[in-house]
Amino acid sequence: MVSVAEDRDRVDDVVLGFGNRVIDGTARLRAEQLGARPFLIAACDPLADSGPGGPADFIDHWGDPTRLRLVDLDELGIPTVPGLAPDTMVAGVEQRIVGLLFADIVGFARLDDALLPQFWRFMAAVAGHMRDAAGQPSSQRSWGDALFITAADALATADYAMALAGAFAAVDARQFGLPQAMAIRIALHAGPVFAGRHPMTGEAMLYGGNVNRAARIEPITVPGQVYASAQFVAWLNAEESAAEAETRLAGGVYRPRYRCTYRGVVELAKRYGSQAVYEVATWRAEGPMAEARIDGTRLAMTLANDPAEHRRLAAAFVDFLGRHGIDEARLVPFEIAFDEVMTNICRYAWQDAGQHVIEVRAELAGDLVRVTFSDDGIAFDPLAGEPTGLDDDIEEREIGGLGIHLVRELMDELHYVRDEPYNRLILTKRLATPAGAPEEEP
Amino acid sequence: MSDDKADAGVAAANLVRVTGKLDVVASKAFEAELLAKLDSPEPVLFVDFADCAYVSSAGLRAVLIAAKTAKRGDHRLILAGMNPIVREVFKVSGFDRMLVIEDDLATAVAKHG
Repeated sequence: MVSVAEDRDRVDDVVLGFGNRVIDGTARLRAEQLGARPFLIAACDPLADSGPGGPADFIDHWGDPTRLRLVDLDELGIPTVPGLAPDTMVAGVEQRIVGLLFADIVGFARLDDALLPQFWRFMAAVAGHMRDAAGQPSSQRSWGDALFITAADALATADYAMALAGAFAAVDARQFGLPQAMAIRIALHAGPVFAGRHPMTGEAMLYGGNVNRAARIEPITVPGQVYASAQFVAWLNAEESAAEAETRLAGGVYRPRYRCTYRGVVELAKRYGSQAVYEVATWRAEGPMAEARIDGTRLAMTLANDPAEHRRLAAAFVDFLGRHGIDEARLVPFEIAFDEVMTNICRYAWQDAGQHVIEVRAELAGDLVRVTFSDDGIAFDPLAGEPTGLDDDIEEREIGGLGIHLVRELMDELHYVRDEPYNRLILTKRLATPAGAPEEEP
Repeated sequence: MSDDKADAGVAAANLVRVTGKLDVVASKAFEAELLAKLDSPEPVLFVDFADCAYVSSAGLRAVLIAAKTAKRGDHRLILAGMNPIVREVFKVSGFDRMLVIEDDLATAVAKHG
């Protein structure tokens, strides 16, 4: 269960709207982890008023009508729940949804006062480094080395976090006379918070359970990395998928900005229970995964758009099937096929010279191996071309067009689908088929 | 082992040995070596695949370019020593019908040297 609001008496349309985004994002996140596609089943009364937080709001944000099923509550005979009571908020206090960032500098407390001038010169350099890259925060506060930043949406919060982490990685504290490099712990969370003024100081303040929750995630974060609550990650995911739907409608291809990796469940102080946390990283800057993820009968990894990356895939694949007692010698046809497919994707998918990522998933079911390559390049069906003429004389024989022919011969089956915005090429082969033996003689 | 083969009457100048995996990366150096050795007065160039684990289409392209170059320069290109998977790749691509492929280097030298 993911807790969105800490105070159930203060749930209004804004909070429900946020809850919708969290459900949307969580569904997409789970689907991605399972290698599946999420469907929205919306049970609602189509005639009822539906403001922010209602089913119509959810459907609008979902964006993909092909993965939507509507269930009419009226037909089921289920009475519609009455709307919420009007706002019961104290005058002068406003509830709003914000992205929350807590950051703390590791080892600051151990710095002697004598080193503080150097520390602040270092921080000024960090701030200078951030100026170009950071997202727009709505509020910033600081106590010594601790930072509390809020922003109006998840992407702006993540942008600020990445700029902060990037500046800490780029600016070397030792150049400013500090004894060691400085690392920062950055934690992100999101949810409804209360905005008001402090009755004694008159200062603007943000408070509530979600502020406390954010502050409790920060100490468990790995220095140098950005950790985020499941709520934040779901909100970020929903924002990214809404941006993707919008880009797609305009005929473009959306490039995901952030990649969230599940890091486990941590226990927060009693009142806050357990909290699922993710590591947030930039898609681009990080590039492809350093290592394959192998989970029983599945392998997942990402590769850079460089044909030489097929070697990394082949090594991971041999390791993966080796764990199932399958000898490397039987995997040679796959190794050749990986070379051909990667060469093909790298040549045709993208027209720019930039870095792109190719996702590979492999699955073992009995003796059947299925490997899927996905890229977000221009739609290109490598199987649509005419087969190369094989009986030509040396002089007539074209150089090229051979790769996909080899893959066809070496695999049992080869399929292509355009699954917007991805090209997917699916290779299937039974391991029982002896390596290199054709099924039929020509 | 490789010295024995070199003793089979083949000089380094007209022999290319393929080792490991002849993939998209390794094929560039392989092609350069083939073309360099074809640019010599030696009438026959032997390519020994005995230590080659596999060949991808990039390797086949290099062989095809070498075969075309050899034909124009009145050289002969003789391939030898393929393991079953390498042989299979040459077969399904139709290359085995355009090129001379012998079981091993010794046979190739005996017949064409």
